[in-house]
Amino acid sequence: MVRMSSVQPGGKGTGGQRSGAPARRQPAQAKRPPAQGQRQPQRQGAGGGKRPPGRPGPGGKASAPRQNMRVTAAPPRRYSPSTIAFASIGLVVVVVVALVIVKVSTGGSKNNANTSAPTVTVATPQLVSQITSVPQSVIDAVGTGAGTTAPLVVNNQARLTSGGKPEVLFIGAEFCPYCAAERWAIAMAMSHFGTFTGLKETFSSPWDANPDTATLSFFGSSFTSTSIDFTAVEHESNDTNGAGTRHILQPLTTQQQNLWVKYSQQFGIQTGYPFLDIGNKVFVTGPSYNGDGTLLGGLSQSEIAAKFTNPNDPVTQAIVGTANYLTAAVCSLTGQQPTPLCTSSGVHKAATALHLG
Amino acid sequence: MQPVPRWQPITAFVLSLCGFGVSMYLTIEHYTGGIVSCPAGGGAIDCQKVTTSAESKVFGIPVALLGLLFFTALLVVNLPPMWQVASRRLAQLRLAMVVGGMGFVIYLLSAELFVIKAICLWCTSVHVVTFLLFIVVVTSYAATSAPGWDDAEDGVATDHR
Repeated sequence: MVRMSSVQPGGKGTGGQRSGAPARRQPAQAKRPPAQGQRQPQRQGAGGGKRPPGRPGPGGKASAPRQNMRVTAAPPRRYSPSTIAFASIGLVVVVVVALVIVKVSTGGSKNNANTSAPTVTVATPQLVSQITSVPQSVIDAVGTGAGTTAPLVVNNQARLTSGGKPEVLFIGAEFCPYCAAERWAIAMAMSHFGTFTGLKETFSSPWDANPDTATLSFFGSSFTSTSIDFTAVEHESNDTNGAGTRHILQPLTTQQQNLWVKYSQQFGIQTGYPFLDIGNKVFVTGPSYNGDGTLLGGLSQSEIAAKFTNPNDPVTQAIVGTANYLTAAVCSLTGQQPTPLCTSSGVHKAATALHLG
Repeated sequence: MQPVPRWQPITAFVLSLCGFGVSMYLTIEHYTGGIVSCPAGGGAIDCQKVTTSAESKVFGIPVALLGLLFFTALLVVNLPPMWQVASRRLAQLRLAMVVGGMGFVIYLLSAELFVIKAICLWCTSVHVVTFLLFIVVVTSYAATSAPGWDDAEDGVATDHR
């Protein structure tokens, strides 16, 4: 008579292998070394697996309990795979729900009636003067500044001109926090080549990143210059009643739209704000410095402008450093005119960094 | 070892296909400079704001591209024939992928809620797909990770006498 017995450690709920079934590997549990104090299971007939000593298996002879053998606690309880699976899913659900609850209870309060849309006022003459009259010593001391990102230079492009003059095109939006930071440097740089009238003061959206960043608005302003043409398009308005509640403020012309798409594509990014095209040669396609809460947060326009006389201030480093890059870029289109500015050490450093010198 | 229910491989494959499709769309829009418009919404629903935000890149790599690569890999490991392969390592890889993907989804959701303060419906659809894949893979893991031929050398032989 052929007797078949598989060596099975009484696996949980499996009942062991059926007679005649092909040899299969045992679950990892079976290979685990016995816990301290436990007896090594002996191979024996069916039913003799990891049974506690002294308890005979069904139909099998129990090994006699050794004298003086200490009976220890049962092995740690294992959770079934389905319990672990559902616990994992539950954990994910709890985390997501917690995120939403935190958002609703904290972020939601920012959207209430206590937060109102930023107002737009005409910039004070003092503010305009502080932006347009940064001391040359500060410009030179700052150079390319600290924490700034250099604009991108593209050679061999058809020059962007308007009325025979090199054109600088800015596309931004009043809600946009990155534009809010960028406008300080743009206004500062462009004012070296012409005169602004009708500049406005405002803030970025209170419902967006870096909320309420103090800034200027080019909407409704004009710029006169004999050397360049500066076109500023505030494409979208500020938020009026919560995030995303904005509208088209200044439509783009087909040419502006095409330039925005073409060069964003060329740099491998989506069209976004801010976008600055300096004569189709130098481009800004995002924030040139991080104007977040640690830099511009909580500062008013006059507080920011008051820093422009201190070259060591981080705000000055960021804004004047960015402005020097932009100035160097425009100088490369104007034949290095005006000479005193374009050859100054601060602008020259920026031009060298951009390989425009 | 309980067999994997037939619906799980099929569901996982279809979900991977959905995630692949949406990720492909977002990646194409990203590199062609197109404007990603939400299919519905207003207020805090703003696809363009999310897809052009600073958080739309991780270490300089567009999140849309990472999603495309992720779902391409998932598509491969979730091909129905791959579920027939008795490999514990494959099951572990599949599990690691969906757990990692779920973690990344939670990070992206946090960024949308607290940093960008806008929700992109296209991105949300990818998050939902990832979560559903997580459910399918996690609930099938016990069956798919049971001992298979690839580690049979560890098996205990049947005692024939």
